[in-house]
Amino acid sequence: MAITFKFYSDAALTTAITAPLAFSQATPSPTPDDKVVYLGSVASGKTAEAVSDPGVDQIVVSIVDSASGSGSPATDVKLALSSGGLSSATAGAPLNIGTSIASGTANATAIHIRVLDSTGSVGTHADLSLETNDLVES
Amino acid sequence: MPTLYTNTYPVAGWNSENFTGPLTGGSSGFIESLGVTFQETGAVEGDPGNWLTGWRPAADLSVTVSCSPNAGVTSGSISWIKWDDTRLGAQTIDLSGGGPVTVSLSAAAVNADIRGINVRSGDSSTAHDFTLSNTSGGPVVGDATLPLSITVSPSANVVLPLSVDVSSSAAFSASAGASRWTPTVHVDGANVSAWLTGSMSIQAAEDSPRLATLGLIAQTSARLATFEGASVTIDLALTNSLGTAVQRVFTGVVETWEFNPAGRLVSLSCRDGWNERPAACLSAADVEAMLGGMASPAPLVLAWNDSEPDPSGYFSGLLETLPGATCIDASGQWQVIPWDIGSPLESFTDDDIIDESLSVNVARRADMPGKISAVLNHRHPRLHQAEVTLYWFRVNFSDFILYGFPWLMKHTAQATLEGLGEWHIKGVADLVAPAAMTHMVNIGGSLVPYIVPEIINETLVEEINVTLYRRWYQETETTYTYDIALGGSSGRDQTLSASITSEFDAQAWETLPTTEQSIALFSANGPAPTVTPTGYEGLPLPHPAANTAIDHWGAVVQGDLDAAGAHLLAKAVRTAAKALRSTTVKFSRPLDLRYGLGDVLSVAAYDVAATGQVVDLALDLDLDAGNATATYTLAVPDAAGGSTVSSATLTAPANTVAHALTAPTLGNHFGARLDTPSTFVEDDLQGFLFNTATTGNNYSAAKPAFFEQFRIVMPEIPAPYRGGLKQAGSVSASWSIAGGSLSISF
Repeated sequence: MAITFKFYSDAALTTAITAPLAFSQATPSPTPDDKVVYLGSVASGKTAEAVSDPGVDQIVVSIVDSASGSGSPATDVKLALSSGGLSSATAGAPLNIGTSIASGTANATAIHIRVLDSTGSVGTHADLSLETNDLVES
Repeated sequence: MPTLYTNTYPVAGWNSENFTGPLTGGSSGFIESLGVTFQETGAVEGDPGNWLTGWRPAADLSVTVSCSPNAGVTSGSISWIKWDDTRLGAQTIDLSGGGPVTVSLSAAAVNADIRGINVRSGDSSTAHDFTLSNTSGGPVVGDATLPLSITVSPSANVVLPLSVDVSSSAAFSASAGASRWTPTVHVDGANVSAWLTGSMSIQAAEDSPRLATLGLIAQTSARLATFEGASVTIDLALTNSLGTAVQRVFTGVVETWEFNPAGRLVSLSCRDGWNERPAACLSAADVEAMLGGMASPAPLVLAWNDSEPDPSGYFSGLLETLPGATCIDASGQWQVIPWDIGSPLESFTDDDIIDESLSVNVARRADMPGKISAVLNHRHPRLHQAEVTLYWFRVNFSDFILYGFPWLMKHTAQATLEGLGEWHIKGVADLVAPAAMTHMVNIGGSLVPYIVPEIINETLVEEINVTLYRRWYQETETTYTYDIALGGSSGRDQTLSASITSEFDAQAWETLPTTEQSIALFSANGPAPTVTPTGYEGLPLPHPAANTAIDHWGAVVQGDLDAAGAHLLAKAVRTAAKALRSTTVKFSRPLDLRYGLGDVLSVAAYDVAATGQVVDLALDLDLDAGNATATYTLAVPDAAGGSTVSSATLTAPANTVAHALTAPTLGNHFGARLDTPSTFVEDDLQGFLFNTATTGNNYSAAKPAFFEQFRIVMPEIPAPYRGGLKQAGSVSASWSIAGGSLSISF
């Protein structure tokens, strides 16, 4: 049974992101491309917590590089809970978003993402993804 | 009647294996017990609720019994006994001494459900009572259970793949000479790029869904059924000798599809979810968040209804106050685009655009009013309060003696004061009674005694001091107006208005009594009032200060008013900005993936120089011919600002009402006396009206006589304070509209 929590394009959780979230970068002189996604669930009465210690351990969104050494490095990505936090966020660092997330639009967590290319390598780099730690839904 | 004897007389009360009595029972008379059966209270054979049902003792049971009177023989007995009176494990006991006797009943003998323990004296014709002192069994053995509930919950990690498209700026260089473009289209996750044919277009505009059309060759008929509602992404790669650029240009779903069987050509019409996103909002906060906090919500003007939510309607209403536009970008992300026009990202010349593709569209006369007015009407009551102080004093004592004038009675005065319609007594009327004493009155040089008797005096009044107050409401409408001059040539003025009402039951405020009204009921020893008298016992709050008025807004506060004003002004500014932004410059150039809605671009070609903000973008791609163009429409408003913003605060006009009503003069007016006037000004006949006694001096039956009364005619409220009132408030506002530039010179 899959959990109901997903990444959505909007705060009202109407559009689940089913395709890779695309960021555009120019070379030379790339400029940061910021986007915001929402982690939540439209199911009723559900709560997601970390499997490692539900309700105690943080839910963590990490930047995962499936092909280290090629494509884009994880350090090209910053995560923050607000647009203002992107400037001071540590490149490549995971983001703690709390010990639990309840379902419903009011409880969805906004995750701000900034991509700034460092490679200058023209092409589409599909080796990065955002992944949460294992979550249990109850 | 013969006597009946029984060895199994039932005695209820043996309710546990380990029992402490005494439990005594037996019978004499018609039925005489020679023996009894000690059993469970309320026992029923086979009842699972009885402890003996299914009971098999784990160990021999120690039982202590006695009987009274003593048995006549030594051959008494004790045993288990079943419901059919079959005895199990019987053994002899000697109750000739009456007991107590302790025996051990065999656990092994219990091979079926038993009714209880049967004790018999051994006698044949003597009634006995028997006593069970105690029973004691072995350790209790049984099963303890702990129900468990195990919930299996799903767990997983949530993954969002990212795609970083790194494009070489050189891919857009015109010096390269030629470029190759390649579409990559995924429908429902499957790459259908190899089947694309014909033409493809992507069109995006402000406050509209992004649309895409494309054609492809259907591979199977089964595939056709999967198209409707399928997810679609379109990426374009542009390559020249200098570099490559890849860009996502569309994310959405298939809305409709058409099939041409002649060539098995499927035409897909796709759009993003721009309409659906606001409609899915569940609260006002959700909708306001979609507008990036840039809209101007005003609950009193544009309300959100929790019981009947209309998120689309609320979104549309708020959108009218947004100093910008909305769209969903090519990646499917909701965007709010401020109408700010700064420095252009790129400037195009004749060499950069397709020949003769540039056009200028000037705003229509009908789109350009001369003036846009934002008008807010606030309806509320103005609550008035006027107070008048009255004074009256009796005639001289000599007049009582000479003319037989009557005293004014307290109840008469009180009734008059309480019967003045819309006027109320402030606090308590001071009705001063004359002192009970003998007054020596000088009449014609002689001192004549005039007695004011005790007790009677308290019913009389010689002086009145009282303040009366009256209050009323005036329907008031305060209008706040702000004009934005556009200078349009149409001569038409446009008004954007809204009304808010301060709900208040002014009618009840005027008339309904308060809990304070009971305060003046008791003259002595009354119960302590629950509220402190204010002097205005009788009518509810608020109490304007004496002879003033207050503009009562009820639940509406200044913040509500400012929000409503800001909402209307923002609406007017957006309306003005849209009118100005209807002047546009449009041009096409070879496929350029760098720019989208909201970007600022410049173009200088064909005697036209313009800088504006992209409001419409169209990509037209011909897979057969290879043509690929991007068409940009720039809004070039004739305005002076760098950004589009507005703010407003409202100030209500000062309330300077001051009432100065003239208090009536309360005098003493006598009738039926020789010098009583024959004609009167009725309005002057206020105070105590009375008549000369028939036995009094100068009595005249021919003169006008009054109905004895205490008469007060209160002043009228001046007309300006009675009818509806319209007044103007002031608006302090600032606004600006971002301006582009447009010049045509030849």
